[in-house]
Amino acid sequence: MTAARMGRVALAVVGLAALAGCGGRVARPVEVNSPLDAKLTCTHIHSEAEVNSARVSDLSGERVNARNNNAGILIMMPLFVDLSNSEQQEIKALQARHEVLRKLGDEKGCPL
Amino acid sequence: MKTWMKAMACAMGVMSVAACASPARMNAMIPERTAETLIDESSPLAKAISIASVSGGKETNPMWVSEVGNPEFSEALRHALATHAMLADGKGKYDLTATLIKLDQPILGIDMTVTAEVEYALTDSASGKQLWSERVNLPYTASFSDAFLGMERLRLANEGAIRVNIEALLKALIARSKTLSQLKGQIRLVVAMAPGRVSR
Repeated sequence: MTAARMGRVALAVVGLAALAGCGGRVARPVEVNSPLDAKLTCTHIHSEAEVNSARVSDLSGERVNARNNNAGILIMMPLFVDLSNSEQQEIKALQARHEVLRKLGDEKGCPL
Repeated sequence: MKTWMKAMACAMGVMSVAACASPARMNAMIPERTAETLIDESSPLAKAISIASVSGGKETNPMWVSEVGNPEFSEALRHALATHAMLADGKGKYDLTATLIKLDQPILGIDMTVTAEVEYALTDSASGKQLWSERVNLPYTASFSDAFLGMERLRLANEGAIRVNIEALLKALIARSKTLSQLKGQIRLVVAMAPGRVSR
């Protein structure tokens, strides 16, 4: 193998390695503490807690879909396997937010 | 450009748009609360709105492009109203209808901009009289750094377009309720100051 050809192969390998695991998306975690928290009413707190549980279910479903897609992508386009843990980061943020809401509910006399 | 480089660029281009399309996620279409969209319990909108109908959405064909379906849009709208303390328990004082008129999507792109046009209408649930309607037309751009795969980026752009649209709806509703409250206050003042009015 000539030096030029080896260079090309090395470039291609580096390029492909840079792209590996490029599937998925950036995480958009919720704000755990908001400057508006002090102004929230009991309705806000209870509704947000309910909505957040639905969001966790939605995100868990997304992870299951991503796993299923990964099985196909692994065969067709292995570089684009979704190795991100965006959903996990978002679920963790929602769980942390739930704790904040629980405390807020207790403080305002409307426990969750 | 050498042939192998052309082939690689072409393959990368194809791969960046290839993948199965998935529908917009309810979770990603709920706008966060802001100082502008926070209402208190005295607001006429507090626990006053129920969703009458949501239409115009399309089901996603996995072999084609990501779309916004009616069930996801409806759920996102319901949850957005709930987190903003506007959703009524059961039948509300006002009925909200939302019609997704158009979802303007790009075919290809590095940064993908989707524009959602939605017509909202608020009616008095007791009389059925339409009180307010507005068409909200707003774009949202998902950048290359948000997702590498084109299909994923398009879905994020769809979700963002609906999210900013719902946020605009909430702001419009709050602005409208404030105008109405001020108007009612002025009417009360004029009536109170009317000549010959005897206070009891």
